Amino acid sequence: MSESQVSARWLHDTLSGDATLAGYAPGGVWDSQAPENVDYPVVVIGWQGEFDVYVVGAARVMASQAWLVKAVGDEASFDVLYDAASRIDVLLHDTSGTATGGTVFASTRERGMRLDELARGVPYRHLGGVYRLLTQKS
Amino acid sequence: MLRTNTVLKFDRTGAFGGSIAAFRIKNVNDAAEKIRDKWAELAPQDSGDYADSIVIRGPGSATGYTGAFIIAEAENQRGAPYPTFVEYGTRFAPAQPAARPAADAIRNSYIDSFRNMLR
Repeated sequence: MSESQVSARWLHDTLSGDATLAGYAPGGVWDSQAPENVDYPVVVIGWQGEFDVYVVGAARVMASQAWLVKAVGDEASFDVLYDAASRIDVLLHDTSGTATGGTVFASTRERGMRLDELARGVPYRHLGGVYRLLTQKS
Repeated sequence: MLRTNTVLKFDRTGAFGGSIAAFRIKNVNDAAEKIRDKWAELAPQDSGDYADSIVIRGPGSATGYTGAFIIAEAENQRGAPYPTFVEYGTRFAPAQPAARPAADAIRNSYIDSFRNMLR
């Protein structure tokens, strides 16, 4: 199992296991892309990049990974996403944990993100952040 | 023009003097060129427009002389910039990050260049 799999699993477990976030984003938590015909808002996570952390002897300690975590809604307003994005931040900023296959030593928000688009005539809004995860596989 | 969020921004160390500053600008230029090349390599190659649109701005007055911006300026046929949508994904398209992986890829070599300079 790679570090990105550990991180993805930890993110999914952490976010989907929170009843408060489930209330704000009833469409669930999805990796990369949510399916069509889902209830909004949804939470989408996506890998954004990484580099390895080494010590003497080329021993790889962990991977430092950037993950985009965002709430996506189908209304022309960010208002319906604020609660979900705030809850995401509570769950992921300055936290840590374990998942099958490894450990997430630290999770901190690197920057916020905010995006709007018009797709198939529907206004979609994305609100969340990019989180830096320090992940070691077992 | 839509600018992605990838910005190189470094602390100033003016107390080190002009020669160091000049060396630092070279480091910035080298790092910016490496990121631009890596970003172009990782960008979707559908038409090549995206990769071709990645440019470096600075160092100069707009970037504090010791920083550089790397910007993707591609636009679609309607003149709408789209690199941010590629980087972060849309409702019906998964993200295809290229800017952040490029910056991460050269991060360690950039730090090493400063470490070597200070030895």
